[in-house]
Order: sequence, then structure tokens, then C-alpha cells
Amino acid sequence: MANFGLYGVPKLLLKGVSKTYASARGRTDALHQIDLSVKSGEFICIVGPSGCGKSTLLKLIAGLDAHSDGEILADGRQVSGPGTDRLLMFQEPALFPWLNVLHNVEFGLKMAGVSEKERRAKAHGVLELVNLVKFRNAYVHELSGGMKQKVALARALVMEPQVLLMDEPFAALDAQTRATLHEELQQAWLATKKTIVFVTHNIEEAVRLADRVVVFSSRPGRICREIPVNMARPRESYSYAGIAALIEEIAAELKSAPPDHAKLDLANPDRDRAEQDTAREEWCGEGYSQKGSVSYASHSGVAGRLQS
Amino acid sequence: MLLIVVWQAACSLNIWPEYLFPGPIAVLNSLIGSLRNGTLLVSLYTSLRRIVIGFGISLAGGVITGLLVGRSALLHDTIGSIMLGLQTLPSICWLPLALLWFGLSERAILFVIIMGAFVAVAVSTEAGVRQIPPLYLQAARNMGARGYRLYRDVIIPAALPGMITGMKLGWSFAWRSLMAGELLYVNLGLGHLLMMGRELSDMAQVVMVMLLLIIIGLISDKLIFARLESFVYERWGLKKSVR
Repeated sequence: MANFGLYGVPKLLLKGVSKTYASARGRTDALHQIDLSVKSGEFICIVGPSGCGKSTLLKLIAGLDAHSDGEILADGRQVSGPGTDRLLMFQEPALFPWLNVLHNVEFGLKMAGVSEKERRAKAHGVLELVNLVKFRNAYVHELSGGMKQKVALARALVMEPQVLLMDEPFAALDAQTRATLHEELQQAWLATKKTIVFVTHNIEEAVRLADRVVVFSSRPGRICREIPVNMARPRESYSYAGIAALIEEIAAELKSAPPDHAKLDLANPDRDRAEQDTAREEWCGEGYSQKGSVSYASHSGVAGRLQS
Repeated sequence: MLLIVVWQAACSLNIWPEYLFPGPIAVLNSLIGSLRNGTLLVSLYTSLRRIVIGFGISLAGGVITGLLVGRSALLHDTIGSIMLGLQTLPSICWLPLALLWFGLSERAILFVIIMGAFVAVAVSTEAGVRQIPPLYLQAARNMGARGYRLYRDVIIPAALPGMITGMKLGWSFAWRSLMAGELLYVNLGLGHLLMMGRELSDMAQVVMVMLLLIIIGLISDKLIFARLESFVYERWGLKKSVR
């Protein structure tokens, strides 16, 4: 496919992107020198510990927040504010409770001044894609969590964005619903061939969905490694032994990734030693043992099934 | 109904003299009498006209002010703090100044009503705007909503629960201010009718006007505000539907 070509302009290009927040307690480096290139139609997953700035990165790409340093190019153009070519899906569905499902999906088109007839037709199309046509007149509070996220997905897809940015959109859902949504997202992606940047802390989710998994280290966020996932689609959970191997590889990557304190010392010579120790603890303790064990548990499940 | 029977029974016991504690029959007679000679209808019309105009102006102005103040840090720090200060002042305290500025006129009483209701509406609307989850605004901006459309399609509907609280509050403030004004100085109106009753030692008339005020309050609450509220709450999913 042409848009997978080596020489095409990348859909998204990040060059040395950094983000620093200034607060009363001093400056916080959220992201440090991020270089990332995303091809058109590519599905990227970013994994990393909580607080590594991966959500911040999505906000920067969406133009909802300004980066401190570096360049963000979408289709070769500088990103300077929000645009409907880059739509962000949040961890919470952020649907409007005063509108029904159909009107929520039509919202962006209405803002763009699309005629009512055309809006309705397009909204109907995407609702079909996510199997929600019969709920088009329901209000948001009448929907389940998974349905809400599907409406949010439909609301984004209907705008035909160039890039879909997803910030842990399925984190709050139960495993069963999540699995269904993984399937439906893959179908929607295969049907529309959007470029997707998907942030998650769930390694299994990342491996299942992504063409390439980008591993972030903790504060300040930086890219440790990029791991391509070359497996046929649509992928079903546990259907490939390869998934298990990749999960193991990425989990190991996350565990061994150094939090880069040496460099922090140089940048911040007066940084408190105790604070660094806490940070390290966070990295090894809260950040990974828990999430790692979840992945390992499911991994050993796969292994068990493979052995039997 | 039972209440009225008990009320009549209590009067029939003659514990208190009739001129201190009129019974329902006396009150009903007073109602019929004032309906016949037209004073009641004139008073009712005058008061209702005042409240509708005063509350209408307060509502329109208060909502617009609240929306602007809620979205601007500068306005919040200036007008917002003045509004909070004004809110603590019972609006009837404006009456002396209003009489001085406008004379004993409709404008004076309207001014007092507006000083009471406007701030209540504006403060509640502002609170409604501030309580909008930032996520809604981010999502809206991301989907291309800005300027006037952001207000019309996101900020106003999202702040509607706060606005309705403000409306209710503003309405009751407006009533209170109106009655206080009419009782104190201003001619015509239900408050004036009530005061006339006092001056003529016609307690039946006083009680009649009081009952009428209660009925108007209940009607406005049940027919207008309760319906608006339950509509919004149901739609927003804040409360389980009663049906």
C-alpha cells in the first residue's frame, strides 16, 4: 500500500517534543525529547507507567495543550491548536448528557456546519459500524460503560479524522466488554484505515491492537523502545502463541527500563535524594508489579493452555 | 380540607376573639367581597405584572452576566466578587435609595425586585458554568466548537441545572422583595392589600391575602419550576425517572 511506503510523509511527526509544567513547587518535566514518527494508517500503542506523560502527549498532538519545546507535525503541518483532523477520545466517554446518542454523534458535524440530512446519514453509518443504531434515541445515562465508549468512538469516527488519539479509552471497562470493544475497534480500524495512537497501561491490550508498541519510561516521559507487532488481523485474545511471547518481551522491557535518574541528577542537581528513591519505588512497586502480575497471570493462562 | 375543618373548629371554640384569629368563613367572605369590588383583581394584576417584568429582566440579565463571569477570570475577580457582596444584602434595603432615585413609582419597586433576583440568578448561573466538567469543554473544542457555538451548544446546556437553581432562587427572592416593598411603601399590589387589612383591623383580609400568596407560590413552583427541574434532571440522568 502506498501509504505504508518508506518515503511518504509521515502522518504524525514529533521532533524533540518536551513538556514542562510550571507550578508553585517548581518545574515538572512531563515529557522529555520525544521523537516519534507515525505512518498513515498505522496503529500505535503507547505503554508506560502511570504518570509517564503518555496522556499529556496525546493532548499535545490534539492541540489541546501547548508543547514547551520541539515540533509536532501533522501531515507536514505544524500543530498549533485543536483541529478535527486529530480527534482525542478520553478515558471517560465525555458524551454530552443533554443530547441523545444520535445528536452526540452528530455534534462535530453540526459544529462544522454540515446540513442536517447529511449529518443524519453519516451518523447512521458510524452507528452501524459500532452496532448501536437501535440506541440512537437513548440518552447517555441510559447506556452501559462499554456502549458509551462506542458512542464516543462513533462520535470521533463520524468526523473522518486523519488521526484518532485514544487515551486509555477502555481502562474503566470490565474484561469482557473490553474484549468486545477490541474486536470492534479492530473492525472499525480495518474498515476505515485511520491512523491511531492508543495510550494504555495494559500490555496485552497494546499487543493485541498495535502495529507497533512504543514503551515509555517514567517521569519525565521518554521513549525507551519501540517493538513492532507483526501478526495477522483481526487478532483475538489468546489466539496466537506469539502474543504471549510479545507480552513477555514488553513486560520485561518495562521492568528493566531504567527511570533515568542519572540524567535527572544532571538536569536537577538539587533534586532531593529521598524523592528519587520514592520515584524508583514507584517505578518498581506501584507502577509495575501490579500491572505486570496481571499480564503474567493471563500469560501463564495462555501458556497453560498451550501446554495442555 | 381537614385543615380547614380544624381551622373552623378552632375558631368556633372562641378561644381567641374573631378580630385576632379569623375563621375560614370570614376569610371566604373577605375574598368574595374584595373580588366583587375589584380591589383583589387590581392588586393581583399589579403584583403579578411587577414580578413578571422584574423577574424577566433579572433572568435575562442574570443568565447573561453569569455566563460571562463564569468564563472569564477577570470578570470573576471584579464583578463576581461584587455580586457575592450584593447577594448578602437583603434587596429591600435598596428601597430608600430606589425611592430617592425613582420616586414612589413602578420603577422603584422594579429596581428592588431586580436587585434581589438578578444577583441570585447570576451567581447560580456562574456556579453552573464553573461546574461544567473540563472534559466536556475539551471534547467540544476538539470537535471544532468555539465562540458563540461553544456557548449555545455546550456551555448553556451544560450549565442548565445551575441556571434552574438560580431561576428558583431568583423567583423567591423577587417575591420577597416585592412583598416587602409593597408592605412598606408602594401603592397597589397584594402587599398593599395586606397592609390595608392591617390598618383597617380586618384580619380576615390579611389572612386571605396570605393564603393567596401561598397559593401563587405553590402554583408557580409546581407548574413551572418543578416541571423544568424534573425535565432537566431526567434528561441529565441526575435522578432516576419517576415514571
